[in-house]
Order: sequence, then C-alpha cells, then structure tokens
Amino acid sequence: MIPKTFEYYKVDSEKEAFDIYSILSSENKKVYYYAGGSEIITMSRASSINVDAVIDLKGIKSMQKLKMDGENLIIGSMATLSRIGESRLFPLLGTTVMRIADHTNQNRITIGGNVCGTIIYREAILPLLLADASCSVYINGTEKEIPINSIFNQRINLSNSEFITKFKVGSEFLNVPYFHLKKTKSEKIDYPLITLCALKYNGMIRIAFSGLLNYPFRSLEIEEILNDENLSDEEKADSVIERLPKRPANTITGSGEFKLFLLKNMILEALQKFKECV
Amino acid sequence: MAPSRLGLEATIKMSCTLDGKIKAAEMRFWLDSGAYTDISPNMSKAIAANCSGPYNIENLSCDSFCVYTNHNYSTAFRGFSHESYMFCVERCIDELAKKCNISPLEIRLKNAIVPGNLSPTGVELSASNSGDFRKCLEKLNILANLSENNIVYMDDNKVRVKGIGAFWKAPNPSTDASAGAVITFNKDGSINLNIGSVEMGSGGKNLIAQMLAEKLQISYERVFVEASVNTKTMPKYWKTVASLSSFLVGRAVMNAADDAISQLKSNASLALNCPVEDLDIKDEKVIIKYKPEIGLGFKDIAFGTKLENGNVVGKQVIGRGSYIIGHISSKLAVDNGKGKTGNAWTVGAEAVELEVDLKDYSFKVLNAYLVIDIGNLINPKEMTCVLKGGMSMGISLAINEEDIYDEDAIFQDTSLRTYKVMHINSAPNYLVDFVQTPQLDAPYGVRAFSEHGVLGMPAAIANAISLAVGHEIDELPIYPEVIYKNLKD
Repeated sequence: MIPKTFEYYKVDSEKEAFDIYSILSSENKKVYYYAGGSEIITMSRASSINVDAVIDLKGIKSMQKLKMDGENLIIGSMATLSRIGESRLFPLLGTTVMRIADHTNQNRITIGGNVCGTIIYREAILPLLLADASCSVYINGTEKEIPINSIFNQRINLSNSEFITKFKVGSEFLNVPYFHLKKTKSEKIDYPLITLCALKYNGMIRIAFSGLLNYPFRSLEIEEILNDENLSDEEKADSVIERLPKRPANTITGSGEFKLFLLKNMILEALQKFKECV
Repeated sequence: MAPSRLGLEATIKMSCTLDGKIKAAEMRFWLDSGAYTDISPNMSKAIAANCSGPYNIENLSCDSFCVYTNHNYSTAFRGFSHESYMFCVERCIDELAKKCNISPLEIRLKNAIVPGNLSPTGVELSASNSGDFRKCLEKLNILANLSENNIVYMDDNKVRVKGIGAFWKAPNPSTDASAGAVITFNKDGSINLNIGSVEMGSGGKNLIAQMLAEKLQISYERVFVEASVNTKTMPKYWKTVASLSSFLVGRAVMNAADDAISQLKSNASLALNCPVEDLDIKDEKVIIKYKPEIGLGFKDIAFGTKLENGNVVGKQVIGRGSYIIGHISSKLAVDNGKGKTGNAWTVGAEAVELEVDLKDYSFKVLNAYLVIDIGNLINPKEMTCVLKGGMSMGISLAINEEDIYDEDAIFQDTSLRTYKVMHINSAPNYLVDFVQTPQLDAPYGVRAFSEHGVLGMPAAIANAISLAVGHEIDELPIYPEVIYKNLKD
C-alpha cells in the first residue's frame, strides 16, 4: 500500500502518457511512469520516494506485444516476466526472468519495469545486452530505436519523461547455445549474489553479470579472455577475476570475497557447458 | 541465533568413557538479552534446568547467564530457548561420538535418560514425567534409516548426509500458572466451552474439545469452543503458552466437566427418583447404570427437569473448573541448583537428510524426520501437522534467519525482502512418527507437543553439514558463505 493520496492515470497510448506527464510535471508534481508497481509501492511504503502521480503504462496495447515480426522478436516493454518465460521465444531471456522474484511477482513485473528499475540487479537486461538488442524509446512524441549497448552504461539512460515502448532482438540470437546460473545467499527465490548469463554466437562466448557489482554489466574485455584459445579454463577464470571493472563490494547478502569465490566456479561451469554443446 | 529471538553462546565440555558413556559435563551459557530483560531471565533459567538434554549426566555443572547488550531485546521463540541450547548440546554430542568412533545414534542411545535418572536440577525421572526417549531414537532409526551410511557420495561434488538432533523440553511456568473453564449448555443439549486460552495455530482448542467430548460422552461436533478471547468475561488463563494448553487448560476443563456431570446427575436423580451414585452418562444422556435403557438427554435436564406434574426441579447446569499447576518452584537453589521448575518433559529425536554441493557449499534439505513421545495420539492428523509446522520453522531458523548489523551496529535486515524465512519450494519431505507413553497427570495422557517440532532441527542440520564438509560448524544460521568462512578459518 502507498500511505498517501496520489493521482493515478491509466492511459491507452504512448502519446497520452507523454502528454499527461508533460502537464503534471509542469505543475511541479513528482510523476512516475508505472510499469507493474513493485518498486513504486515498496519504495513509497519505505518513504524513499514521494509520489504525487503515477501514469500506468500497462494498458497500452502496442507495448504489450510479444511476438516474432519477420526476422526479429518484438518484446513490448509491458510484457510481464511470466508471459516472456512461458512464451519460450527467447530461452535465455525466459530462463533469466523466471528466476527474478517469485511467480506472483513475475505476473506483475514487466520487462520494461525491471530493466529501468532502481533495483541494482535488473537481471532482465543481461540477455538483451548479449543479443545486441535494441530498444524503442518514446521521446517527445516520437519513437526512436536505439541499440541497447549504446544507451546502456550501468543503467539505461533515459530522462524522466522518456520511456521504452519495446525491445527488438534479432532471430539469430534466439536459439543459440546459452547458459544461465544464479547463485543466492541461501533461498532459491532471492536477490542474486551473482547471476551469470552467457551465450555463444558465431563461435564466441558472450557473458554478462548481475549482483557482482552494484549494476549489471557486460564486459568485452572479459569476453576476450574467455575466447582466448591460449588460456586454460582455470587461467581464464583467474584472469576474469583479475580484470573485473571493479572489486565486488560487501553487501547484506554476501561478502565481496565470497562472490569472487562463487564467480570462479561459475565461470568454469559456463566454459564447461559451452564445450559440451559444440 | 538471531539476536531478536535469542542470541546464545555456549561453552560445553563433556567427558566420557572410551566407549562413549558420558560421565561429566561442564556448561556455560550466555544469553544475549538485548537492552531490556523481558522474559530472558526465565529463558536462562529454562536453559540451566534442562541443560543436559535427554541424556543422563551424573556429574554436571552449569552456569547460565542472562546478559544485557546493546542489541535488540530478545524474546522467546517457539521452543522457549530449548531450540537454542539444544543446538549447543547436540553439536557437542555429535563431536563426542566422532571422538569415540561410534555413530551419532549409538552415543545417544547409550546415554539416553531412563526412569530413575535425575534431571539436571535433581528431579527424579519417570515414564510418566519424561516418556521414553530411547524408543524415540529406535523409531527414528527405522524412519530415517540411520543405520546405513550417513554420508554417501553422489558424484565428485555432491554428497548426501544425515544428521540427528534430539530434544527434550519442559515447560517453565510460574508457580501461580492457572487456567479456568466454564461449560454451559444449549437448548438442544450441545455444549459451549469458555476458556481463556489463546490459539495461535497450535490446535489446542481442538484437542480440548475432543477431550471434553470424550469426557461428557457427546459428539465432537456438538462441543462449541468459544473461539475469541475476551478477558473481561472469560476465566483467566495464565498467558499465551501454546504447548501447555492441553495440560493446563485441559485439566481445568476436565474439572469443569466433572462439575457439570455432577449437576446433570443431580437434576436427573430428582426426575428419575434414584440416587446419584446409580447414574452414569452415555451418548449425551444421564442413564441408570443397571438399567441403561432408562435415561434423560442433556437437553431435558440441563436447565432443571420438568416433572410429570409440570413442576421444575433442579437448576441450570453450569460447569465450573480450574487448575493451578502444583509442586513446582520458581527458583533453583543457589548452592546446588536443585529444584523442580516444570511438571514434565516431552522427549523426541529428529533427523535430516541433506544434499550438499562441496564446490560452492549450497545445499538442499531433502528429508526431515521426527519421532516424538506424544503421550497419547488423540488426533494424528492435527498433531502431525502442528509438528511439521515446527520442523519447518526449525529449518528456516537453521539455514536462513538472522539479524544483520553493520560495522556501526546499525540494524540492516529491516524487511522480509532480506530477512528470509524458508520459502515453500525449499521445503523437504516431512516424515513424522510417534511413541506413546502417557503422562499420567495430563488429560488423556497427552503431552505438550506443539512447540517441539522446531527443537532438534537446527542441530540436525548443523550435524549433517559438519559431516558433509568435514569441519565442525558451531554457529547458526548456516548458509553457503558461513560454511565457506568456517572452512577458510
């Protein structure tokens, strides 16, 4: 529950959403696009945000799409995690999102909401980064398609008035060999200590992580190490740990040291898996 | 243990003969009370009074300290501190078994209490006041198949292990702990029961209704226990003590039932014109013992009895009863620790089977087992269910639940997002079996049981994990990083 009075708008189109946003923000109101609510509700309850108005995007039909369109998979940003998982259209993404929260929440959380959230994990972004996906951003009345890898730096960089309408993934990435491994403190359903997503495309391993640092990331430098034929698996794993963008921090769920301990095993497991599926 | 439940530290020394017979033990417990005492001194006392666990230790020294700290204040969890000190004792017993090169089951069988032994505070144990612990172990052995190898390698990295955690528990009531009960009748002869006991899922009110139905020879469906509690109108009950209600409230209800029966008989004797000693109750009627076909239904006599001439004799039947726990003392003797602080023990033994990944120390609880001496299994489904609930809480306590403070002692674990209780998909198979040694002073011999499922689980899990990783792990909770740190240090 949100313990204060706030305005709620359910909109039918992207334009309506943007127009209402413009009006409300010109009235100096604190406005949020609402894409499922799990963050807005919990953060309001904890008084860490102060909501004057929310604009619910979940009713916009064009943003709920989940289907193949020619050579591309179109994923509306308002598609729920459970729909994506059950569709089996992009197995790596499906596996990843079905390990976010529990089933009740997967029915509510949307991919757009997870990817753009303030939560540090944002695991749904990992497969999109690996598959060179693009996203369509609604900016000032027009939709603009932007490659994820160029708009993403630790997080998707949007201004407050902008929102993502859909993601597009090339079909060549959908059914490649993939690997997903999530390690938690103890319970299966929990935030990750580390979530590792990887796929093999054109003979090369691509890899991305969540939980390890306080933002999700894909590192080309790490991928280079993993694809270096002159290194043994053990050397690759050690080298990855050495070349992380920064050291993992101690958090409430686990120490940085323990995360590195897990990481090494996880990388070895991923390398082994890709060897088996050649 | 989680400080807002119970932060307990202990040092335990045990000595035994080469074949594993325990001869002496020295124990020290420090209970983290937090900034306020609340109930923690009583928990410290309960620890001291029961510190040996269900084992006969002839030479025993125990100091149990209640310590003020700057943590959250702690209060009793399900098990009233027994879930915590039993962890310490049961870990020690397992380590002792390893030293003696005998199995965890064998060392427990060898030292199990038997009638005639003394409790840590000098109470003589009997079958009635402490049941049959040895039989519980023997049944657990069959239920959990403990005689096969306790560690089995599934592959290079995965092992399956079993661990035992036994328990006993005595209540720790104040000397004025009392309960009251009032029985009234409805026009159709069905009965209402008013008791002050608070029901929090322990099923106590169901069991009491069963007992009353049996006693008054009326069907269970026709006993209406008032579900809500109104302290203004209901007889006083000592406090919310789930596991004691079948005993304490049960005794008051039996007492009230006797009172109601004597009033029913008195009314019936006037109508039937025969002495009360010739009357008995059966099938919701007062009957004449030697002529059972002659009788009057409760509905015809509960509000006095109408004679053939139209006059009404007798009075409205209102059964009144109470019980106060007797023969216990609130304090233990300062010089030798002697004293009787509870009326009876419930004993039992639990076990778990885990699969442990030796590479990253993740593990899954596959099976959880419990055998308890319940006294009398009057409601198998409900009693099993309550015990399984306790087992689940015990597992959660062992593998998840903790309060986390940062370096500046600021509490971090402020919501259930990070303070995890066991999720349903982590739950194991629960297997429960019973031993039945009646407790003679308890209604229908039923022992306290509703807290007890929790008690042995933390130790069973720690014993199993210690076996799997080849390192003694003496702290809770235990999750992969805790194992990693223990192995590293």
